Amino acid sequence: MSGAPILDDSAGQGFLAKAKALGLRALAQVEGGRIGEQKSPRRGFSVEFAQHREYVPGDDPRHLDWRAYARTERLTIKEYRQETNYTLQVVLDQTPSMASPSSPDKGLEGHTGKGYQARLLSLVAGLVAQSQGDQTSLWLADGRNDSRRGDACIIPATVRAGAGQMLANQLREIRPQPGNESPAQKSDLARVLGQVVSRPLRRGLVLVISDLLEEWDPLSSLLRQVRARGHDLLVLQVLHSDEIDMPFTGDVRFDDLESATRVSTRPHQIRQRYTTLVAEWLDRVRADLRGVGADHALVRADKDPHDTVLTLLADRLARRKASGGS
Amino acid sequence: MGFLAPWMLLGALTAGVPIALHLIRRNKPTVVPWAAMDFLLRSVRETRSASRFRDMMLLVCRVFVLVLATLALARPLASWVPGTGPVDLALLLDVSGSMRTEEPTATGPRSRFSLARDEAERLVRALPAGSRVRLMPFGDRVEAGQTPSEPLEPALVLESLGRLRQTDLATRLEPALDMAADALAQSDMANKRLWIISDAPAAIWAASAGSLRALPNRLPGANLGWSRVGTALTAHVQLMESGPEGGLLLANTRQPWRVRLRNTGTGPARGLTVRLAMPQTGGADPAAQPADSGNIDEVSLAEIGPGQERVLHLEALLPEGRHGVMATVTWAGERWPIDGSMARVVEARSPRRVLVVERTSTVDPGQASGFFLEQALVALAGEAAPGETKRPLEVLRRSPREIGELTDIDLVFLAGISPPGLPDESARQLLDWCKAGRLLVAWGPFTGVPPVVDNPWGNLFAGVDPAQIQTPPSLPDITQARGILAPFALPPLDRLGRVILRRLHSTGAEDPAEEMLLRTTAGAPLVRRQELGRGEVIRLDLGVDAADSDLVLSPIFPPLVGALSSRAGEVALADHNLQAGAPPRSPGLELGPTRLLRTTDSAETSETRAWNKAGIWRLEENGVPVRDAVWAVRGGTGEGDDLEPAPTSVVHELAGDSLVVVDANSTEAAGILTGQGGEAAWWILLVVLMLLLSEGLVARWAGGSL
Repeated sequence: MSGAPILDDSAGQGFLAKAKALGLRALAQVEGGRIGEQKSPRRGFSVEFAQHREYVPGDDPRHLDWRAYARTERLTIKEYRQETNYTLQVVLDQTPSMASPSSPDKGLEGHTGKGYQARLLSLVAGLVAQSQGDQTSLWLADGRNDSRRGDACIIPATVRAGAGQMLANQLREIRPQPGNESPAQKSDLARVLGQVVSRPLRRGLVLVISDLLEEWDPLSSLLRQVRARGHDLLVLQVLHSDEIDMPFTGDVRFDDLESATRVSTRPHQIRQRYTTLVAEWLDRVRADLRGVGADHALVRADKDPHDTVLTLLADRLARRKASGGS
Repeated sequence: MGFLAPWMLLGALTAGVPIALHLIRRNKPTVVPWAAMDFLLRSVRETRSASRFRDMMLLVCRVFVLVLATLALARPLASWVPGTGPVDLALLLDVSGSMRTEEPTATGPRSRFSLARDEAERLVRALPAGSRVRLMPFGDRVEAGQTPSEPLEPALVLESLGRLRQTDLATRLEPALDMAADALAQSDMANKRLWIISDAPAAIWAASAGSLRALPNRLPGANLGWSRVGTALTAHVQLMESGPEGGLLLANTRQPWRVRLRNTGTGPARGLTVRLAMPQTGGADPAAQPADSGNIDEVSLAEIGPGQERVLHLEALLPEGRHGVMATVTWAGERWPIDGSMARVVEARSPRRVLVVERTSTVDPGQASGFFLEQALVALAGEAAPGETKRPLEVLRRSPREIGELTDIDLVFLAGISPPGLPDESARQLLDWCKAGRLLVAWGPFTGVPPVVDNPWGNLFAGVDPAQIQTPPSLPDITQARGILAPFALPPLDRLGRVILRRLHSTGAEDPAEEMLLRTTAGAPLVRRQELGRGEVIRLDLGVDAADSDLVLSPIFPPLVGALSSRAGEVALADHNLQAGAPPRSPGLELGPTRLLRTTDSAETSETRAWNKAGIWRLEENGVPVRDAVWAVRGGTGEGDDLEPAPTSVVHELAGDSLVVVDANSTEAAGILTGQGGEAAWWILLVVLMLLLSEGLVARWAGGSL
C-alpha cells in the first residue's frame, strides 16, 4: 500500500476545495515578506484601517486625512494595517508510534493509520496555505535522529510554483517505521520543536500534527516557547480510537512500536483504568494548549477527518473575522 | 454422609480439567502493535492484583461447579436435608414360591429367598440409629403370621429374618403395597421408606401399576425402593390357560379342552408333554401324582421357541358333577415346574341351557337381535360327530316381558336390552337368579345412558358419559377385561376396539381417530364386570345387532361369546377355583386363620396340610370326603411369568419417578431415581446453579475464559 496521501478522489477533492474556501487563517499577527491576507504587526498603507496619528514632517502627504483636517484644522495621517503572507511551519510526527495501527507481521499501515492521516493533514494544510499565497515549510520528526538528518526541516519555505507538488512528493517518501528506539529517539518530536524554537523564524503559523505520545512536560514546555516566539500554534492530535477506547477482548499481546516491550493481558480487565488514564492525559493536553493560546483538535485516525478539520478551519475563520480581520 | 450412586464420585476427577486447562492450554493471544505503551503499562501495573484475584475466583468457581455437580450425581444423603434421620422402613420381602429358584453365585447355587434375606439384612444394617422396621413377608398377600405386626428395632428384625419361611404362594404386589402404605401412613416418623425385595417380573409390576402410582400421594415424601433378585431363565414354559373349549362343559360328551402355553424364557423349550388329569390327592407337584392317576388326555409338543405361545386342544370326557382337573406341562430342563401346572374345578352338566332375552332387531323388524347370539352359541356347540350324541346345548329365546322360569338356566344373555328398562317382574326374576351365583351378560351400546337411583340394578348399567371420553389408556389398563376375556386380552381385543367398536358409538365426529377413542374411556373399559350377590354381571358396550355394528358378522364374535360362556362356569364355581389367599364366598366355608380349610357346620377337618399349596384339594371330614368339596388352588399361577427383570425404565414408568432399583445379585444399584427424603442432590444442584451464575458474572468480570 502506497504511503502517499490520496486527495485525487472525489471525496478528497471535495474536502480540499472546502478547506481552501475556508482557508487556514493565522489568528496571531504574523510576519511575511509579501503582501498577503494575514494580519501583520506592522502598520502600513493597505486596505484595513488601523489608526490616525499626527502628521510629522516627512510623511507622505498622500496619506493625509483631509476630511479630518476640515473638521479639526489639524494635519492627521491615516494609517492602515499592513497585511502580509505568512509561513506555515508544519511539524509532522512520523515517529514509530505513528505507525499504529499496523499489521504486526508486515508493518504496513492502512488509510486508517495515524501516520497516513497525519501526512494527509499535512498535505491539505500545505495546499491550503499555498492557495492563500502563503509559504509552507515542513519539519519532520521520524525518530531517525542521526547526523545526516540533523536538520529536521526537510522543505524550506517557498512560494514558487510547484511547491504543493514538491510537498506531496516529499510526503510520499515518508512513512513511520516501527523499531527499537533509544529514549532520545523516542522524544524526536521534542527535538524538532526545539529546532523550530531555536531558529530565527518570522512569526507565522506552526501546525503540529502528532499523537503527542511522548513525555508531555517537555513537549508542553516547547509548545509554550513556540507561542512565546509569537507564532500562532495549532496542534492536530492524531490518535486511533483503539488507543482511546481499548476495545479489544480475549487474550491480547501488545507489542510496543518503539521498543521490544511486550505486554500480555486481558484488555477487559484493564480497560476502565486505561481509558481513565488516557482521558486524563487528553484533558491535560487540551488545558495546557488552551492555556498558551494554542488551538487543539483531536483527530481520530480511524474516522473521516474531514468534519473535524473543516470545523476547525471554520472556527478559526470565524474567530479571525470576529477580531476584525477579513 | 452416604451416597445412593457412589460410583458417580469418580466424576470428581473432572475437577482437574479446568486446572489442567489453566496450566497446559494457553490461548494464543492476539498480537496488537501498540503505541500508547506507557498508559498500558500503568494500567496493567495498577490492576494486576485485582486481575489475579478474579482469575483465581473464576478457576475456583469452575472447579467447584464440577465437584458439586459430581457430588449431586452421586446423590448424597445428608443429615442437614429434611427427611434424614431415623427411618420407618416397611420391608416387603417376597417369600413366594418362585423365590425357591436357585441362582448361581460365587459361593455356589443359592435360592433367591436366601439372596433376598441377605439383601434385607444389608438394608437393615444400613439404617441410621433410631430407625424401626416393619418386616412384611409376602406372596400374594402379606404373611402376617410370620413376623410381628408392630415395627421392630433393626436388631430384632435381623433375628426375625432368620425365622422367615418360604411359601408356595404366588406373587401379588398390590395387597402387600397397600398394607405397607397403610402402616407407614400411620407412622409418626418423618422419614418413611418402603422397600421391596422380590423377583417380581415386569408383568407383576405392570399389574401393580395402580398401587405404585398411588404411593406418592399416599406417602408423600417417602422413598420407594426395589431390590430385585433373580435372573432370566433361558427357557421357561408357563401354562397360561386351561379349560373347556367354548366354556360350557357338557357331561358325558367328548369335548375339546384348550390349553395355552407360553415360553417366557430366552431359549427354546423342547420335548414337552401336556397332560390333563383328575388327581385324587392334593398337592402342587405333578410328579407326586401317580402317572396314570385319573389321566384324561395327553399330548406331546416338540418345541416352543422363546416368546412363542401355543394353544393345544386335548379332549376331555367327564361324567356329570364337579371335577378337579389339573393340566400339567413337563419338559426337560425346567427350573420352575409350578408354572407348568394349572388346576381347575369344572362342573359337567347336561343339558346346558342358555337364555337369550332379546328385542326386535332394528334392521329387520321381523328378526330379533338375539339371532346372532344364538347362531354363535350353536356354532360353539358344534355339530355332533358321527356316532356321538349331539351336544345338548339348549338355547332359549324369550322376550323381555316373558322371561319365564329361570331355575334351570345356566346363563342369560340380554341382547340389546338395558336391564333398567325391563318390566319389574322380569327384573326381579333376573336379579334373584343372578344373586344366587349366576352370570348375566348384557350386550348393548350403553354409552350415554344416564345413572339412575331408584332402580333395582342401581347404576350398574349407567353408560359412559361421552364428555368424559379421553385418550385411550394403554392396553394393560383394561385389566378387568383381561380377567374375563383372557384369549382376547391383547391382539383380538385390540382389533375389536380399533376395527369394530369405532362404528358402535359414534360421537358424530368427523375424525375417525376421535371415534376410535371410544374403545376405552378413562376408567371405563370395554368389558365391565360387577359382582351381584354371589353372582356376576358382565356388561359389554358392544352392539349385538348388525344395526349397531358389524361385530356380530366378524369371525371373532363366536369366540367372544364362547369366552363369556366359559365365564359362566367360572362364576358358578368361583369358590372352588381359588387363587391362593382369596377368601371363598361360599357361606358354608371359610378359610382357617392360617392354613386349614374347614367347614363351619361340622367338626374341624383332619386335613392338616397347607390349603394354600397349589393343586387340587379334596376336603375330608374324618377321612370321609365331603360332598362336592373339591377345590383348585392356583398357587403357582403367574409365577415365573417373564422372569426377565423389568427394565428400569418400565419400573420408573410404573412408579412415577420415585424408585430406587438395586440388583441384589450384583449388589449394584441399577437405577438412580428416588424420592426426596434425606437426599441432598437438589440442594447441591441449587448451589451449582448459583455457582454457574457467579461463574458467568466472574467470567464477565474477569474478561473471558481462562
